Amino acid sequence: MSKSRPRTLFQDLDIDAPHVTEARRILQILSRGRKDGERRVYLVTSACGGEGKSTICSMLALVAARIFHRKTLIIDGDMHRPTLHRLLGLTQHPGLFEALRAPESEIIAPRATPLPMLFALPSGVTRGPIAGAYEDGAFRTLLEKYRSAFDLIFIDAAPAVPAVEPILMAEHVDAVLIVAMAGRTPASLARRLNQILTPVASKIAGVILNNAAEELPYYHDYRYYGYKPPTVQQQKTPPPANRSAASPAGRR
Amino acid sequence: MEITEQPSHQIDLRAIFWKAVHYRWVLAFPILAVGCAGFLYVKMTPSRYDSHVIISLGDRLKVSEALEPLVKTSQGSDLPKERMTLLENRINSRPFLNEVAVRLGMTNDPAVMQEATAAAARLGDITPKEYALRAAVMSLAGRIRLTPLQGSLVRLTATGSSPRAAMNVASTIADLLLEENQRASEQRAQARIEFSSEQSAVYEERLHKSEAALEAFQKSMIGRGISSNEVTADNVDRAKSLIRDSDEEIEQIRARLQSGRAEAATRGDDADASPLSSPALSSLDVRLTQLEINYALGALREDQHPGGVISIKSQIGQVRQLLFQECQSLSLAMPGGISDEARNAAAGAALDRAILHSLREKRDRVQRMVAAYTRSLVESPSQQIDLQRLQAEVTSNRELLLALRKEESSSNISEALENSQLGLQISVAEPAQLPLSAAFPDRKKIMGTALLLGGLLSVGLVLGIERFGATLRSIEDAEREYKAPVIGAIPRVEGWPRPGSFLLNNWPVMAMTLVVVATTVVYFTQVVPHSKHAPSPATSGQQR
Repeated sequence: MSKSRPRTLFQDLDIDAPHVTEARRILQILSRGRKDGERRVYLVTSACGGEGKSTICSMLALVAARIFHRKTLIIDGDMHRPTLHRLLGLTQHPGLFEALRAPESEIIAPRATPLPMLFALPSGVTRGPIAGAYEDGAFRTLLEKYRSAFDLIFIDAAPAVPAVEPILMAEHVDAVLIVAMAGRTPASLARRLNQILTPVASKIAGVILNNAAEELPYYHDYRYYGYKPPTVQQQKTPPPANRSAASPAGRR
Repeated sequence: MEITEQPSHQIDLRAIFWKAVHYRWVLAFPILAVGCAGFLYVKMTPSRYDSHVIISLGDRLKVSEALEPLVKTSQGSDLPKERMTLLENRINSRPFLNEVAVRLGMTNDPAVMQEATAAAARLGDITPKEYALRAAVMSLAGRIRLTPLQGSLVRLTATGSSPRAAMNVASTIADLLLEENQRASEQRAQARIEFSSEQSAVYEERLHKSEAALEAFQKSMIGRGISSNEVTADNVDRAKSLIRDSDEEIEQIRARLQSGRAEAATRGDDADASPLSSPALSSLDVRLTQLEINYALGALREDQHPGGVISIKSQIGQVRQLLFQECQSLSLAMPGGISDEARNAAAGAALDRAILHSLREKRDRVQRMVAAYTRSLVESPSQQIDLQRLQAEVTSNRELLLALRKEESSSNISEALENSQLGLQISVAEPAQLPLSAAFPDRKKIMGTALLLGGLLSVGLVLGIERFGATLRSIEDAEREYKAPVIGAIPRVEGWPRPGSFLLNNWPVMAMTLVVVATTVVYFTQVVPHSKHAPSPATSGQQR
């Protein structure tokens, strides 16, 4: 049977792990598809809940900060079911909701994480209508403030089919990443999401398939290539100090 | 250059293996469920035992070759299929099954009688015993099967709820079959005795007639042989020569007699008026005639007895001499007044007459024999055919009568007739034995079928999920639905649980656990209590 979930993503961050390798590959692809200085803000959404977008979004941010040494901010944009703070081992408050409601002069700074290059803004504790928090250009203003301070920003948005916030946020981001879980995401919901995202269709950078259910063919499974999970000793090896190995992802 | 990609139809065994591993619990669930159902079916279904008796439906008894045409009937009744049908009809007849049921004591079962009493009270027009008997017969009819084997062998299978019950039914049927067969044969054999006796009498009379006809024919042949059988193809020419010689000699004697008469007339004598006669002369005349005939017969048989003819010839000469002397003495004794010349002429004429008579007799006898021989040449083929026919008829009738008497004494003819009409000679080639294992349910067969069915259901279920599942299962699905490229496929983080609810991830295992638990509960509540009270197959001997 399955093991209990680790407390945070940091504890399983092995740079040789298959999911990290795949995240590196995705970041590499994203960095090639844009000009310097563009599309630094990525909105990660999906058709419905439970497809792993928070995990994948966090993973991309962690890999960008840990391996590519980019100053990265991750924002929990799903105020309906916030999970990012648990994945990163942070408290939920203060967060995005407070930042959107705060006066223009007041800046709620993202919080530091165990990784020096990674900062996070949890969802915050909602006290009122969630969709209303995105009115009056508050989100755009907030994003402009962070854009200048970080190389890469990943926004973990709510599912786009049941919630309206992702389409509101998508107006202000550089690219939209869609997460779908192989074997679980209904095709009808995928079509519905495609319809919803039609206004920002040009911003869709691609689809990331979550193969956690191991539905994809055997050649998507790392065990097919003889990969073995790292031992505990290997996981305790300190990260390399050489920053020059960073990829062009997020480079301005 | 535009390259059109063709969909690949190659079978990727690794992909199939991957899918099998991925759906291992989905595959296992139907197999386990159907397997448990099969297990419960095997355990809960009452066992049935089969006991077999090998019956030989032999040919009718062999009879003598002479009787074969009598007992031979249509060849069709000898076919194994028809024999099998006859046996099946006999076994399934109500009187037969009634007898089997009575012998097995099926109507004495208290439970059966109780049920019969209740049914009789409900129906009204039937007694409990009749109802029980009819129920027993109905039950028996469904428990007996006949299967043709090689040649004239038939396997009779009786089914029972216990090994002993099955064997009892089988052996009772076999015993009853043998008894009925024996009894029927004896009864019909007795009834056929009269028929065979009448047949014997008819053939005896026929034999007597044919023997009498043959005897008469042979006698006629013998009679013809005595009068004429001295002349054969070898001596017919000699016989004709004898006739010619006799004729010439007769002519000479006649001529001499005529000249003697003429001389007597010239002299004025009347010699013919008083021919010489005496008993001695007559005796010598007869003797001469016999000698002449003997001479002729001897001449015909000359090849066999050459010395005999010469002897007869000398005897003839002696008799003629004696005749001459007698005639001389009789002429001398003639009254006076007759000249010596006339007396000598009378003696010579008497002698010539005697010789003439003997020659005529000889010639006539030889002529008759030649004529008989000539006639036999013409009539011989038809006589031979008649003779052979009569002899064959006598032989056939004699053999038939002997065979009839022999077969009648041993009653085989009756059995042969019996068997030729019924076409069955039943014997038990292999008696009933106690079955060692249940014929039904066949555990291996049922469990094998269950596992096969479960496997097919498993494959069908997986194919159904793959074919009709409305989720994104591949990169191609995702790109088609989202109209965007897939830029990555994140594998499951090692050590993290599979996504989704516990029920979603574990329903096959939970369902299998539920099936196993349910099977166990049913087994211990429904099967175990009954098996404790049920008699063991080896000791359930009295169960009917």
